[in-house]
Amino acid sequence: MLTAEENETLTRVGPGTAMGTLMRRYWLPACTSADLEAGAAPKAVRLLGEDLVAFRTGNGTVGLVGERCPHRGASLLLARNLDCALECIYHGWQTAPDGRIVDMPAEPEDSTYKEKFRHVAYAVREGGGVVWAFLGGGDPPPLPNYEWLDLPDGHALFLRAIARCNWAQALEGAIDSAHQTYLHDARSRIARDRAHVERIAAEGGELTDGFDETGQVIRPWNDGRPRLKVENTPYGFCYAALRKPMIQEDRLQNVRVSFFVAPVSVIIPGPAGWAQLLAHVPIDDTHTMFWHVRANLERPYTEEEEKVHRHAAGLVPGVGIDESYNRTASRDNLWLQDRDEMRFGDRLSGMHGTVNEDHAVQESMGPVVDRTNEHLGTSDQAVIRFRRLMLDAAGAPDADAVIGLGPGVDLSVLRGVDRTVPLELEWQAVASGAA
Amino acid sequence: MTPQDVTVEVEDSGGGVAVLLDEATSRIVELEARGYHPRSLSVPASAYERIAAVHARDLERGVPLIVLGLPLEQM
Repeated sequence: MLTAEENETLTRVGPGTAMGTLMRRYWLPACTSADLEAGAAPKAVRLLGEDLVAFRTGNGTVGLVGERCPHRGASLLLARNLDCALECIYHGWQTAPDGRIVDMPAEPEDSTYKEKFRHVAYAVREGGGVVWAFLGGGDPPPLPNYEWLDLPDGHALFLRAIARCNWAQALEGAIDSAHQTYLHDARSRIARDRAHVERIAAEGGELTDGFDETGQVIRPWNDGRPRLKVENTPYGFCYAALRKPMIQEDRLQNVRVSFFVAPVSVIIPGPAGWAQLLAHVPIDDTHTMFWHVRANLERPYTEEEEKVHRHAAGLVPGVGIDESYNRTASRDNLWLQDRDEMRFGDRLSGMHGTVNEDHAVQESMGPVVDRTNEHLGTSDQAVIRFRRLMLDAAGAPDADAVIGLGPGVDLSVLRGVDRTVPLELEWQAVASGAA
Repeated sequence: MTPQDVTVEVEDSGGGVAVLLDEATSRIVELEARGYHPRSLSVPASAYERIAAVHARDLERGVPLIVLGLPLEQM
């Protein structure tokens, strides 16, 4: 529940809005390095309501500039990509990656016109296979130093999909631990996890987590009422869902720890040896580019792993998603929900793929959910904290009060955890990796 | 009412509904962890009015003001 005014502040990200101004103080993922081939066609990137083109010039410099040529507004998606600039096909105006206009061939030969202004151009940096964009003014902060940022090419797998809804409601799905037992449940998962627990019970051993053939954790719990723990940090907050296991609940509990990293990211637990990040980058007020980064910290990922991951997410190219990141499932086809699947099949949601399930419920709320109509419970504690933090930061008069930008914010030490541990172990010890 | 049944009191810091809700959630969770059973939520009149304005449609339908699963009361 928010007031209508708070909801507006939280959700609107265009230039001049409070949240838009806040978002422009952080690096945001714009596209991947692999998207931009030197000298190849520029790519359309819409970020925070601004239409931009990303390109890599023939000599390898990456640029992110306004889509419309500053001359007469023709799209620079049509431009020739030269060694040092984009050349508009209409009158030959050339825009360099830093926004300088380096040629206006139709103007008089002795004209100094091109030295008098710059086109819209934003700072970009590459790291971890991602092209990061800074849409603010002044000096940008350091790149967020996630533990996968310096891995060689081929270690990080990127899934992207457009959520047809506001960024905040998409992100709230990622920090809502309680929905996992409901929206994403499957009969096969329940049977597999029960078999794991029953085997341990029969053998009389200590209950442990297991891993399936894809490295996903087998959860020895079926507790739909997690107890949440939320603790503010310099980058946002750390939170844990504590659940009772199916057996040995007098001695053990499952602790699932995730991290909200302002303004749009969540570090979630992954299979052993993998780091995982979800980012919800506002395209505009009613569309969000969802990123799922899954990085193997020791070796390049395999083709088979990519297939399994895409299949599980429901984002198989040409089937679940097109080349522009539009999902096949939408409100028009009721997100391809299958009532027979719900009754007799595997997925209790009747939908295929975890991303489709998430986006279906988020999009079903409407483009920007009306939060005055909500009736939240204490199981929504992380969602409630997220809203408070972001609204506080959006209204902060000084830069020091903005989360995630202060000195000493070290994201490289954060990795999601999903473990069954002795009951007496503090969840913070599990979160810090000390236990 | 048992000795474990309590009214959760939350002061109005003037920070809006988002802040009020966060404070109330933290307080409820803390009390539950200590074995108490929160039965109602009590806030100053200024906060009560703000929440009542947000849930005006519920009130028009005759639905009582329930916040975080608890009846809302004025201090």
